[in-house]
Amino acid sequence: MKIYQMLPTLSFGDAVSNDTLALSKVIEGMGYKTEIYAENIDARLPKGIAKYVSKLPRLSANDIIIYHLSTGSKLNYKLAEYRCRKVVVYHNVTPPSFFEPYSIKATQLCSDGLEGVRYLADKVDYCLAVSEYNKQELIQMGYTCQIDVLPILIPFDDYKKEPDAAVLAKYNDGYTNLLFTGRIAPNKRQEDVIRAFYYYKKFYNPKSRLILVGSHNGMERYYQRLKSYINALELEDVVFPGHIKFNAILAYYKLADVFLCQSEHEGFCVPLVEAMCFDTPIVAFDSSAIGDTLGGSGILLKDKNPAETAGMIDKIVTDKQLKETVLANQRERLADFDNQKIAEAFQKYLLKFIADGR
Amino acid sequence: MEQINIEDIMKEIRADIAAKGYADNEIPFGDIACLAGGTELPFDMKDYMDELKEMDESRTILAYRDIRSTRKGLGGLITFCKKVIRKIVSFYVEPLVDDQNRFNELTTITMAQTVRRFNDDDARIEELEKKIYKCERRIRELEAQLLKDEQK
Repeated sequence: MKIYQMLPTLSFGDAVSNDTLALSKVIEGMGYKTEIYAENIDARLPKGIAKYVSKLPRLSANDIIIYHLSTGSKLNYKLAEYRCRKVVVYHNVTPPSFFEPYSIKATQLCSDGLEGVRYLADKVDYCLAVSEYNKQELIQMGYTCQIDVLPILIPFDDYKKEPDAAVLAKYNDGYTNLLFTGRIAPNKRQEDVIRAFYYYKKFYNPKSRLILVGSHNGMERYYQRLKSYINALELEDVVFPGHIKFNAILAYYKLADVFLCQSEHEGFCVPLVEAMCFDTPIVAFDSSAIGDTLGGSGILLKDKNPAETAGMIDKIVTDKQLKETVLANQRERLADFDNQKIAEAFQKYLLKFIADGR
Repeated sequence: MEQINIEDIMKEIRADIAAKGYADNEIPFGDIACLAGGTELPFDMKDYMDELKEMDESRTILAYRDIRSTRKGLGGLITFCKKVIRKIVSFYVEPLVDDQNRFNELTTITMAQTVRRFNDDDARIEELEKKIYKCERRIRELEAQLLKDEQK
């Protein structure tokens, strides 16, 4: 019996790809032969780390494909044709409506993705959802197979690397740094982060800065709109570092006084866990899987009022006791994402799935 | 995990906001125009500059190219014949190559000028946007003031 992982694109540094690579190590550790197959493989990844789907060998009925579902792809349909046992790891597909004003291509991709998710509802044998939110979504889409929740495996060792000294030197200047990391994308609502920062800077702390780390590739119109919005507000000290090296991202996390998330759609939100790892207090809007990932930690706001959000940020920055409580809760929650814990859960789920197939 | 009563904190914050008269009345994001039209393929400045650099580095074509043959036995003869042909047609090929090089040079220079124009235009647009938003803000303030005065 072989266990293969499959996904449309194996990228360098994104959450789905990192999860795939990490699970691959776990499967190898269990003693099974495993490989990763993808339609697209990022050239920056080491050679041989994955193969193209066209090279997938003949499958036997007791082989397993673990398919990472997160976007539109013809693989979403091809998966059903493989004569083997099928597991879907559901990372979530962003609702296409977020992209409608900005990109026909992205809208179509998400729309196709959701159709693909629905298509596979009665064609897979087992699902792993990276959050309870994702699990409920699968159930709503008609999935009746067993679905377990398995958080994403996050490479915490990578965060111990040396941060970019130049970035640290540049922004460690007594300013209060607010941070959000994530692709510049409309579902992440960077405009609401900007608006909350505007009120924080205006009403509470003029010596503050907002850093929005993330690439805007494919979302140039949205990015331009954000820049225009910043101009309209006559807002200063908003930094878009763009697509940067990993050690620069580490530096921004180290500099951050508050992590501010106003996203309206996340399947998991790895940056929240990253903020926990860097002991940065989190203020987040309660939407989609954000509450699941925070698991009672951080500050979860039910309403999206920028002035009130600014007030909460100020409370975290100025009230030491509150900040310490938030951080203590976050440290406790972070332990739930320990790689060993998640790897063991995955092993348990996989062994049960294998046993059920015999 | 220690429970934090977020609602109590929010009540405090709301009261504070009300007392200080902080209000969320800035221009909404929905009022910011989204660039419309144009191609679906996004314009990437970095790609554009990289391609411009490649264009500049490859703009000069050489009429004279090294001729070799790796064929055993006949290789030497083939090379000699090719060199003779190169010599014979050089009177025709070299002016064509010169013309092409001239065209390549002009195209590369023009494309580089386009980048400078892009940057100038972007800077002008940004300045104009700032002025427009300043004016719109002033209009809103005056309208609000007018309404207050009328109500008195």
